[in-house]
Amino acid sequence: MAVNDLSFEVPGGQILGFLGPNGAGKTTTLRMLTGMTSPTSGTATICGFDLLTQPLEVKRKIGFVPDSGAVFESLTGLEHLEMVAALYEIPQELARPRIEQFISFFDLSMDTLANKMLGAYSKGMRRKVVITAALLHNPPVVFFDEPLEGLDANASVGFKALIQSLAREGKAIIYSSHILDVVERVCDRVIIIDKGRSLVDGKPDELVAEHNSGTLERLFTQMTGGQELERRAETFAKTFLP
Amino acid sequence: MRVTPPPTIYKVPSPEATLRRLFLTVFLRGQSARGLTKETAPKSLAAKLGWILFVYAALGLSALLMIGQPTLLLSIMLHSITFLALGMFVASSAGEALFNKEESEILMHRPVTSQMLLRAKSTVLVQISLYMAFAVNLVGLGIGITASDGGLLFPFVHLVSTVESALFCIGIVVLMYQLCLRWIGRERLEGVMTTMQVVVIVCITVGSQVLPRVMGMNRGVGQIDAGAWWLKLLPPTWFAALDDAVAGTRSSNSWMLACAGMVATGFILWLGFGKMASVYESGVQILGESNRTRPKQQNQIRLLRALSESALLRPFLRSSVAKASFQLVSAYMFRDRDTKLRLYPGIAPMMVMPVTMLAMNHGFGSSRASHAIESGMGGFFVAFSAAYLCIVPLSALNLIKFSQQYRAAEVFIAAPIVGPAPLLQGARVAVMFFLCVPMLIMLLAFVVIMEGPSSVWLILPGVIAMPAYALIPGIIGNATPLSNPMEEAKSMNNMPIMMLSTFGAMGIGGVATTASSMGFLAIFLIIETISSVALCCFLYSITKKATWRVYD
Repeated sequence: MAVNDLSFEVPGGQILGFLGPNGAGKTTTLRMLTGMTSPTSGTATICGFDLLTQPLEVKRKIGFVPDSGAVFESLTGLEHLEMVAALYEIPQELARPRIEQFISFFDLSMDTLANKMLGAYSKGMRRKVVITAALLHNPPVVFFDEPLEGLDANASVGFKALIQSLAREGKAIIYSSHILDVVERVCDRVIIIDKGRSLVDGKPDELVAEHNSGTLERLFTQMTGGQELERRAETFAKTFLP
Repeated sequence: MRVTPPPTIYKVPSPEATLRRLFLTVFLRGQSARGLTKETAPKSLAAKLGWILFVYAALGLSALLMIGQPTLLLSIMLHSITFLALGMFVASSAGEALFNKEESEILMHRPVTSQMLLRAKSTVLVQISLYMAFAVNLVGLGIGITASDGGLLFPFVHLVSTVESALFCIGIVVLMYQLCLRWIGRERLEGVMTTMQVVVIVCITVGSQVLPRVMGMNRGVGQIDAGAWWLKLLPPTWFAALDDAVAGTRSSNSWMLACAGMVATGFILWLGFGKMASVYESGVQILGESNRTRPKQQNQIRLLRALSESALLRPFLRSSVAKASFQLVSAYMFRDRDTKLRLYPGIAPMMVMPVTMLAMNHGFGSSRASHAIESGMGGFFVAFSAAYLCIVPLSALNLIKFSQQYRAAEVFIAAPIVGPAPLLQGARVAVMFFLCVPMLIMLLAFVVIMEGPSSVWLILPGVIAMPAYALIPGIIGNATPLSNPMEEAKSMNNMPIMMLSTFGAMGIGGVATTASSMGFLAIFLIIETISSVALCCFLYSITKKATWRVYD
């Protein structure tokens, strides 16, 4: 079982850092919360709608940036975004200005977006399109799974500022990432899970102080059995390298 | 006085229409952009569709053979061709269209239901299938008016029966997937579905080769017994019966068959798109879940490793790269869904055609057979059959160079390997060992049974020529295994090479038969062996010198 007995609540305006080692159940949790996988038991309520009985209502209220960054490669960026807008029943006349706002924010060119197929985009450009597609319908709840992958330093800075602004506007943000220093700086609250169960849940600074770990990274390794890694790395280098 | 302008009313887009437009676009352009002119705006979809329809319309020209024939006969032929064309199309594209992993990542968290996805995809499949069906039947619609018992009603009723036939075809394939999902379970789903899909396509391919001969079409189309009991079991007959019932003989028998066709189509559509539509959701969700390696696959990996180290294959797999390539290509041949779907249906006709020729030589459904026996063509058929199998490695290597995971092939360029030669060597050995050798053994058994042991020698010219044929892909473009995107497979143009290869096989068969009849077969085999070795050395040296081409 990837996720077991996991329960949490995220109020509007909060950025929740969702952490865990590989295979801990982060992506499975996000997939269940976004209606991509059915849970075998349990339920979730998003914006007052039950995920199991009102999946369409839930999906209208959420935005999701999956870690795969999958797009239809044979569509142009603009075609892809207009398609996504149409799925949320946003008229083209309203969708286009919103797309232009994101283009301007992410420093993309309309010419590229309209004429190049997504298959020709760099990883970073593609990620920007995926983020735009997740936020285009202005959802009150947004899930990010490794959103910074592929983004350059400037775009990453811009993105971090963006999610903080979105939270200030009242959106609930669930942010899953392995980049712990970013999580520490951006998130108001952190949940660390392992083997599908919640290990700690609280404000990053409070958790760090409570466990006397100094940094979130130390806390993470403490909680998930990663303390041995540094010693193992040293032993490995000694035995592996001639 | 200020007048408040009326609120702007925007047209709210329909998600279902958006999905249909999306799937049509993606279907025609392909899932990946590589292989398309991706730097510029996409080309017209209508032009692409037009070209496909032109090819299908050309296929329908065979209806010209049926001028003046009875309606039922003409219609059976038209529906058979439609069934073949659509069956192949739907069976090969439905898997990719219905269950695409990336697509579930993009769409399943949006406000769309799995039923909406299934409906939109099915509509696109039906839409394209109908275009194709109309293209195939375009000439037939006019020919139907000239039917000996037909009339002006034929085009109208034939359009209806063609729609029915197309819906039946798609319904059967979708239902097949739904049943697999329900009965097989999540763990084995993908493997079983792929096997079934391969079997369906191979059956359609084999059927298209064998059925016309069983029906006796080569005796002349007018000689087909449209009243044969077994013909009534085949779906094309049910739809043809509707044409006959309305525009032909109007017999009660035709009406009964037509009704059976309608009931069967309705039932299949109800099952596939209504009753079992919910099963589709679990299928789409499975795609996002990680697969566990089953014990059977681990055994396969161990077996492949042992094979590459065995005394039998070691001489051909000297370098570690060739060994790794052999294991990789073999694993893809047995496990990868897309590779299997392209490879086995692609080479099936190459096995079926020689067997059919040999069978015809013994009077199976052909009056030409007696003529062949009398004129001593039996030897030629054996030699040609074996030489024709030479095309198998050529064709298989051309198919194995495509993969959905083509980007992973960049690891070949990153590795310290000068060029694709050792990778091609591994792929060649895999194809020869797992495809050509079993096919040759089957042919050998068939020749011994049908022609007697004395004809076995005539297989040798084909066997000797096979290694040279297997080297050809290495000199005609990037044949590195699994390194080209699937979209390029659709646009590849291997026809001239395949035609030349077929002529070469005919040449080898002809010369070998002549040498055999003149008592010089042994001398011919020696000369052919020397020539083949020289040619192999020449082709291998070219392949070996090749360096990496710049990847897209």
